[in-house]
Amino acid sequence: MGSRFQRKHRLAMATTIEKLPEHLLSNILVRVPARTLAQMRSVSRPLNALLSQLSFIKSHLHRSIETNDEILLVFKETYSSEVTAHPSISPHLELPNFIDQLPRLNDPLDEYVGHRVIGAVNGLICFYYLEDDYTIQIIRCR
Amino acid sequence: MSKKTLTLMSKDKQLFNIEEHLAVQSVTIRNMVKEDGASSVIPLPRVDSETLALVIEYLNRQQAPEEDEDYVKKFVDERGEIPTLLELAQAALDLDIKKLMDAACMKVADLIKDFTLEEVREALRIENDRTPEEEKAIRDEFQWAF
Repeated sequence: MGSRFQRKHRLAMATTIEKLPEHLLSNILVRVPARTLAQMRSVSRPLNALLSQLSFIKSHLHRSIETNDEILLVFKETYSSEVTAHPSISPHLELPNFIDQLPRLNDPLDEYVGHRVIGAVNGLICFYYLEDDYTIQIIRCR
Repeated sequence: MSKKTLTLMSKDKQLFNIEEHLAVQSVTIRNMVKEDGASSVIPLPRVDSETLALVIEYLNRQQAPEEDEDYVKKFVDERGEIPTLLELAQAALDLDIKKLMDAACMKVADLIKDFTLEEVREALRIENDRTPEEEKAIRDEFQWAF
C-alpha cells in the first residue's frame, strides 16, 4: 500500500515542497485518532511539539469525547522533562466500576498509592498519578 | 430582480464569477461584502485557480439541506488525492467555509492514519529529523497502541 501511495504522489509532491501552515496541520491532526498520533510523534520534532501544545491537546480531547474515541490524548512529563501528549486508554474499559473505586485511589495505604483525583467536571476526570513519573490524565468517564 | 454577482480572483489571476448569495457561505467573503460592498474584484492571493474552481463548484451546489452532509463528503471523496485535498482544506480554512474545511481535513486524516511514518512525512511535507533510534524508542513506549 505504501509504495502505491508513493508512486502516485511522488511527482505531485516534488513540485510542492513548501511547508504546510501549522494551522492547517493541526486542523488535520486533530481528526487523527490518538493511537495514530502516538506513532506520529516520531515523524519529526516540530510535529511532536505541535502535538504537545496545550491548545492542540484540548481540541483533540474535545473531539475524542464527541466521537467516543476509547483512547484519549493526555499530558505526561517524561524522565527527560519534556512534556508531551500521550494516548491513554479510557479507564472505564479496564475498570468498569471506576467511579466506585475513586475513594480507594485516595487511600495512601492502598496499592494505588500514587493516584490522586484532582477533580471531575462534565464527565471528565482530572487524575494524577505517580508511578514511574508524573502524569496528569484527563479521562472521560461515563 | 437580477442577482448580484461577485468576481473572485485566484493567485494566478484567473477570474471567477459567483452569485453573491452563494459566495457569502464563505464567512471571509461575507465579512468583505459587509465592510465595503465588495463591488470590485475580490483577490484570493493564496488560492490557485484549480482549487478556486473546486470551491466555486462546492458553493454553487444545489443541495437540499438534509442531503448537504452527504454531498460534501462525496465531494471530497471524489478528490482523493492528498495534494488536492490539502489545497482545498487550506482554501476552505482561509475562506472560512466550515463544512468544506471539516470534510477535507477529515478526509486527509482518514487517509494518513494508515500511512507509514515515511508516507506521513511525504503527505504532510515534513522533513525527517528523527534518528532510527528515536523512532524505535517512541514505538517501544507505545507498543500497546500500535
